Formats: sequence, structure tokens, C-alpha cells
Amino acid sequence: MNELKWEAMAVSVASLISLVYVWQPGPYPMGAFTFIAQPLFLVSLASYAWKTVKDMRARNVL
Amino acid sequence: MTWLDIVRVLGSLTCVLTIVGAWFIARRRFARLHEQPAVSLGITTLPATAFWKLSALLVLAVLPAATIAVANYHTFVGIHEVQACSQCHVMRPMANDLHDPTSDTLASRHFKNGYIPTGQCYACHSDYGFSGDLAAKLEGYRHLARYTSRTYTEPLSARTRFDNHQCLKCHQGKTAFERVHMHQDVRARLESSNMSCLNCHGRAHPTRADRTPGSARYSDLIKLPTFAEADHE
Repeated sequence: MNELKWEAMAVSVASLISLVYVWQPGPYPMGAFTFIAQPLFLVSLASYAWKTVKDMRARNVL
Repeated sequence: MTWLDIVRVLGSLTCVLTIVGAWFIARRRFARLHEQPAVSLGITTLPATAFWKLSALLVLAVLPAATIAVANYHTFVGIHEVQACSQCHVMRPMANDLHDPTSDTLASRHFKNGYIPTGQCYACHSDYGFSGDLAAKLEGYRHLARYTSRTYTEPLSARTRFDNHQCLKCHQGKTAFERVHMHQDVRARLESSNMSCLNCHGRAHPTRADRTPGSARYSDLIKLPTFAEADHE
């Protein structure tokens, strides 16, 4: 499997935004969670899934 | 401890675990894991490759899914409170008027008479914005995008026509409602929302003129509201 550095950084940033939102649920934290954190989570998940599939194909698992 | 407190603690836990886990995952060189010793978990021992791949699954998929679920629960349940609505300053005129004992608006009369003990905004506006159905939730996202990008103008005006069922769900069938002959005469029009309850029962909130920046009442209406919801609980 390739390195997962940027995916890990993306989920860290998204989690930090989510943490702020959970404790300070104002409109701007809510906007940041909705329009930045959630897409970051999804993009990093998609990239992770893609790398996992590539890794499994390389190992003839898939 | 309320459900919202539990959600906060759970959300914090998933976020902190994700951040700590991501720090370890970011530093890991997956191509060289086979050179590393096996990892003992107490009840079993895993090869380093398996351990870190499972950790990556946890940190990049499972924990974020839990965080998204918890934070969205926070969004859709937290917005039931008046305090949540008035976080956006454009909603403060409605919240301040609601709590104003001298106001004669429909919302204020419901509040001061204790007709709706908690979640007063949500009780009458549960069909649109984040509290409504899927289409309404999407509209709620549009509201959020417009507010956070400051692409709106005051005073706000609703795009949708108020559905009288928000009133009828509490009033219809009650003696006080049914004994009014006028209600019988216009029942069909009320049920189809072709006639507004406000035609006879007055304004629900401050007027657009009062909610316009620069108006005489604007500075009073826009101040940070004090919350007295607990008074009626």
C-alpha cells in the first residue's frame, strides 16, 4: 500500500473542525464542518479506498 | 447529563482518537512494514502490516464515519432549540421578540402563555430548514451557505408559503378552536393553506420594516437574546 500521509492529514484537519463544531455549534463552525470537514473526510476515504483496491490488485487478492 | 452532552463527549472522543491515530498513520511507511516486528495486542499478536492496515481502516474510515454521524446528530437535534436558531444574528429579531413580554406577536403570545414549553422555533417551523424533510434539509444547507458566505440581505423573507398544518397540528380538534364558527366556515381554505391563520390572528414575528437595519427597533431586536426557555419547563 502506498503512503497515507495526506489522507491522514486531511482527516486530522476535518476532525479538528468537527471538534470545534461539537463544542461551539455556531453558524461558522457548522458551515466549516458541513462544507469543509465532511468533504475532507469523504475525499480521504475515497483516496484510501482507491489505494487499498490498488494494493489488493497488486497482490492478486482482487 | 443530556443526550446532547453525551453526543459532545462521543464526538470529542472520536475526533481526538482520529487525530492521534492519523499522526501515527502519517508517519508510517507502509512499504517497509514487513521489516518491522509483530505487534502484540495482549490477547493476540498481529504482523505489523496487518496491524497498521487495520489501524488505517479505523482512522480513515470507521472513526470519521462515527464523527460524521455524531456531528450530524448534533446538527439536526441541536437546531430544535431557540438558542441554536439565534446563533445566526438574522434570527435574533425573532428570538428577542419571542421573549419580549410586551410584544403582541403570535410567537410571543405563545411563549409568554407557555403554550410551547421548549423548542419554540422548531414547534412551528418543523417543516423547513434543517428540521424538515430531505428537500427542506437541502434548503437548510442553502441557508447555511448563504449565511456563512454573507450573500444575503436583511430583512430576510421566507421563500416558502407557511403551511397552516403547523398551526392545525395543535389547534385543530380542540374545543377552543372548534367552537369558533369562523373556523368552520373557512376550514377547507385553512387546511389547504389558501388562507393564512395570520389574517385574523396577527403577525407571527416583527415586521420586515422593524427587521430592516437602521430601523428604530433594529438595535433592540438584534441584540444577543437572553434565554428564558427554562421558565416554562
